[in-house]
Amino acid sequence: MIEIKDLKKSYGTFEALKGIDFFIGEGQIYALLGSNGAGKTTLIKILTGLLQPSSGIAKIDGRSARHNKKIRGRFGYMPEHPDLYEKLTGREFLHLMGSLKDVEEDTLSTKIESLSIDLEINDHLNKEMGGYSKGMMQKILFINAVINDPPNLILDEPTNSLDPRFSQDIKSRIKELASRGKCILMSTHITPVAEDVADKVGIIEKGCLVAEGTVNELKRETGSDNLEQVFIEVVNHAQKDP
Amino acid sequence: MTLWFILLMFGGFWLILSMIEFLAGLDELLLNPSQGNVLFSIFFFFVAKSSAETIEGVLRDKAQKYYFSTPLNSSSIFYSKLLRVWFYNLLLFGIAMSIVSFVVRIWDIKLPIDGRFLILLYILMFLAPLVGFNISVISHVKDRWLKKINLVVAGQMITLTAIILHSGLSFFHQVGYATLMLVSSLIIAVFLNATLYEEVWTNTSQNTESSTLHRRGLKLPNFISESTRLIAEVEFKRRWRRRQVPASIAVVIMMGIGLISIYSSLGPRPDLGLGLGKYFYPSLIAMTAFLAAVIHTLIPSLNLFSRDGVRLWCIRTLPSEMKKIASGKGLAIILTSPIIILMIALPLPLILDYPLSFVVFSAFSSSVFIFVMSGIGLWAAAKFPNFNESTKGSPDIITMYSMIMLAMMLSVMFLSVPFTLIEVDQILAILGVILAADLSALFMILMFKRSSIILENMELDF
Repeated sequence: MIEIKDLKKSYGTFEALKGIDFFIGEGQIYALLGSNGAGKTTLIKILTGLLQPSSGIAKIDGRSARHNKKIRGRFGYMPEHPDLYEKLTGREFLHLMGSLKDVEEDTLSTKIESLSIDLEINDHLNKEMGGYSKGMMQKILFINAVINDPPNLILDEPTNSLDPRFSQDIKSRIKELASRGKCILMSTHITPVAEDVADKVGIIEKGCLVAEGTVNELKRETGSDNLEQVFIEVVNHAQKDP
Repeated sequence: MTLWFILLMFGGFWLILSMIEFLAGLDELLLNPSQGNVLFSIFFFFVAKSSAETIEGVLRDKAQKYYFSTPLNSSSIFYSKLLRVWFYNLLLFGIAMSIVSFVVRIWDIKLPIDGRFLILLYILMFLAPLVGFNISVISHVKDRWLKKINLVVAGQMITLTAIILHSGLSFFHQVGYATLMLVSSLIIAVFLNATLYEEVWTNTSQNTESSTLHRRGLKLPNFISESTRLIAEVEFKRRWRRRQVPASIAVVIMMGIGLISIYSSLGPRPDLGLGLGKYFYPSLIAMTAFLAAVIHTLIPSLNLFSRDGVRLWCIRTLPSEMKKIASGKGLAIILTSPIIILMIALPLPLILDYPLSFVVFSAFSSSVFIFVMSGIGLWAAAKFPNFNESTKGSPDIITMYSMIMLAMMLSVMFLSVPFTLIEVDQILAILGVILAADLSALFMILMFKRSSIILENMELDF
């Protein structure tokens, strides 16, 4: 489970996060929506320990992200930008990451094989990743995030560079993982993706959580037909009334 | 730090120029190289430098896709890149010459050069970046035969330069032929390479090679912790595939060969006219080993983290201890460092039939350099990272220079006691140098730990 309480992050006088609160329980998918630069990635980086918060609490399974060592291994992370080690093959990268996440050698090889076949990337696994397309790297990153079967998943724009077929595939995998009790935080600005998979949606704007609820609750509250309209409505309102 | 760097730079120039002035007054054959040799060495250095810059900064620059997607034709992009490498090298040369002029003027240093030397030097400085650029572009053409023919033509520029500078031609002929070569290189660039550039850039920047072509790696013993071993193996593999490891080993081997060739020219005990003959080779070995450790260990360590740049999240989100990960990165560099002992610290003392105590002293002193520089390198990599993608993570020149100076001071500190003991008691000196190596290894481990703490707390906001 993931718990965020009054989380703040400042860079000098600029406040990137102004006190965010939310909770994600086991088996829940939480979609974090926001405009570009709203603070989604900053929040995710704090949660993964890549950034330190200015104040507030970010916890994974009850352990503070400030002490990153204790929570590593309890989450799988997929970053926003699919940049990977150019001079390693996909197989070498996954093997390295899996081994360092304490996955047994036999299990690791089988997992890499089966996931890469499912995501149709097995033909490229022995090629250096410098020649991969963004979509291919995105698939490698997804495999890396789930390879040790962590109880929590933090996915930053997981379907960004994928074609509709694989985007659909990833969405159904995310749902399947949640049905197995995984706690999933997903950031995206593609509203249909959030509408399809999320149990709960949080909209973040200028560092504040300006709306939160299930998709149906948000639609009802704003009188909108779909999540895209909800998002536009909420963000416009937040910008007019800061 | 900038002021410190400027002071060091002027001090360094003063030291080198004063040494040249001093050595020019001596009669030793090798210490008074011909002007042709000096000119060719400078020329060759700039060819190699601009060739490496072209590969790293031009041909592998993926951002050029934005230029190629505009209506600009590929020749215009080519010329802009050519001029960048050309002007940058000329600028560097110009700055160096300004400092030389300043130092010579202020300290009234008498250099053994004349106007003819300078004219030839300037022509060669226009030629060298062009030759380096041409060679790098041509060597990345896909067609094998075209590549071979072109390389032979471009490579001839180096051979012809050597011939012109050493042939005993009159000054006017030398200037004439050097200018002719400058024009020929320009013709190769304009009429050949400009047309090939788009293809070459595509081949080089869009790396789709299968790793089966170069699977070289290494297997480390199991007594090293698994995380450290895995990181070291992968880091080594990446450095090998970027050709950094073979290039660095080649440089150390060349330095070792250079030492032996100095010995074969000067004989076993060259006297500098000061009665210091017996110190000549020990000093030379120490200086060469230090320089080799800077090239092979310190400089590659400095960008160990920043080269990863946006990929640093990979190691920061791993459940392994950061100390083990940082040690793995450092280990990947140290693994090949014994080449410094094998190629520089040992051969010459053995050839010269120095006593065993000196051979042991030489080997352990070199290991002190290696440990000190690995420690400083990894610490500075975490402390002063440069996440600018265009520089491939290399630290700025001020940091690099300061770390070299720090390594020198610490090495002197570790070795000063055993060094003073060598004239008094050789056994004690050997024990002293072993202790110094031990302490420097401890220093390295502490620096690895310090580096891992900095890495652990680093804000990865990119």
